[in-house]
Formats: sequence, structure tokens, C-alpha cells
Amino acid sequence: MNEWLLAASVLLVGGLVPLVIAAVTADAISGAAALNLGGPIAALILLLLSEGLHRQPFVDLAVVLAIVSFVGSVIVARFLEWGV
Amino acid sequence: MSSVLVAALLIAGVAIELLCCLGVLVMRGPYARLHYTAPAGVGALLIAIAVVVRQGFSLIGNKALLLAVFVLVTAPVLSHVTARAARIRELGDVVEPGFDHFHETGEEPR
Repeated sequence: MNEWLLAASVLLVGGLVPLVIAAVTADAISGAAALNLGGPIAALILLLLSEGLHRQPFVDLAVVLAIVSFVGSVIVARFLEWGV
Repeated sequence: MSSVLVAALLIAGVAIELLCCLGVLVMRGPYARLHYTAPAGVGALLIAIAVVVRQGFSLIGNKALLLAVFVLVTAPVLSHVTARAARIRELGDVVEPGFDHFHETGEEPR
């Protein structure tokens, strides 16, 4: 295991698990805040995995995930604004 | 020398991201939690610089920088959108420009 895979593992366990706990246990807006942070962290995990596994073309997935998670977070916030 | 720099940048970037996640978990109330979502862009930038130091401005280096700049730019936008949604859910739509509910009523934000 190289340092990139180690960093990805640490982010996966230490980063996403607290966000899932926050999203499940707190109110809806706090869940949206956790979602705001979870998207970029998942994208960073993909970036670290593609570097660590020497699959460099797969970094496109990280870029696409960052863009799509941004749009998704905005839509979730708009739905919450409308009282859904 | 380069590997030491890469390791330092990686550790710093991952530490910032972990502190952000811990802040979102620990803080009370959505407004306090939202403060911890914006610094994620800084951590992303440090991790992207680590990739650039290792690989140079190659396919993965350029895209890592693109990803970091995108996260850095969009994190404050997301904070704003979510805080606006929280405020509208709490107090209703803003009907009077310049009216500050908390200032006028003396209520404390949650």
C-alpha cells in the first residue's frame, strides 16, 4: 500500500463515516451540509485512488463527480428551501 | 526530497478534510456546521499540489488542479445556498430587502 492509497483509506473511513452519522442523526439542513462536504471528499478519494493504483485516466471520474455532486447539492438545498 | 514534500502535503490536506468532517459532526445547528464545509477546498488544493509535485503538469496533475480549483470556488456557493435554504425554512421567504430578523427581534440564531 502506497501513501496515496493510505490517504484514500483514511479519508474514506475518517471522513465519510462522520458525515454519514451527521446526515442520519441531525436535521435536514445539517444533512445537506454534510452532503456539501461529502461530494468533494468522495471526489478526492477517487483522485487519490487513481493516483495510487496508477490508473491515471480514471481521474476523469473524480472531476465529473465533483461537478455532479455540486449540482446535486444545489438541487437538494432548493428542495429544502421549498419545504420538501 | 520530493517524496517528503508529497507526504507533507498529503498529510496536511487529509488532516484539513478530517477536521472539516469532525466539525460537521460535532457542531450543533446547521449554521455552525456550515462553517466547516468551506475549508474543504484548501485541503483539496493541498492534495492536488501533492499530485502535481509527484507527476508534474501531466494528465492527472492538470485534472487534479482543475478539481481543486472547482471545489475551492464552489464550496462557498454551496454554503450560501444551504444557509439561505435554512433561513427560509426557519423564517419564511425574505419579503423586505434589508430587513434583518435577528437584529429587529433580538432573537439568537440557532
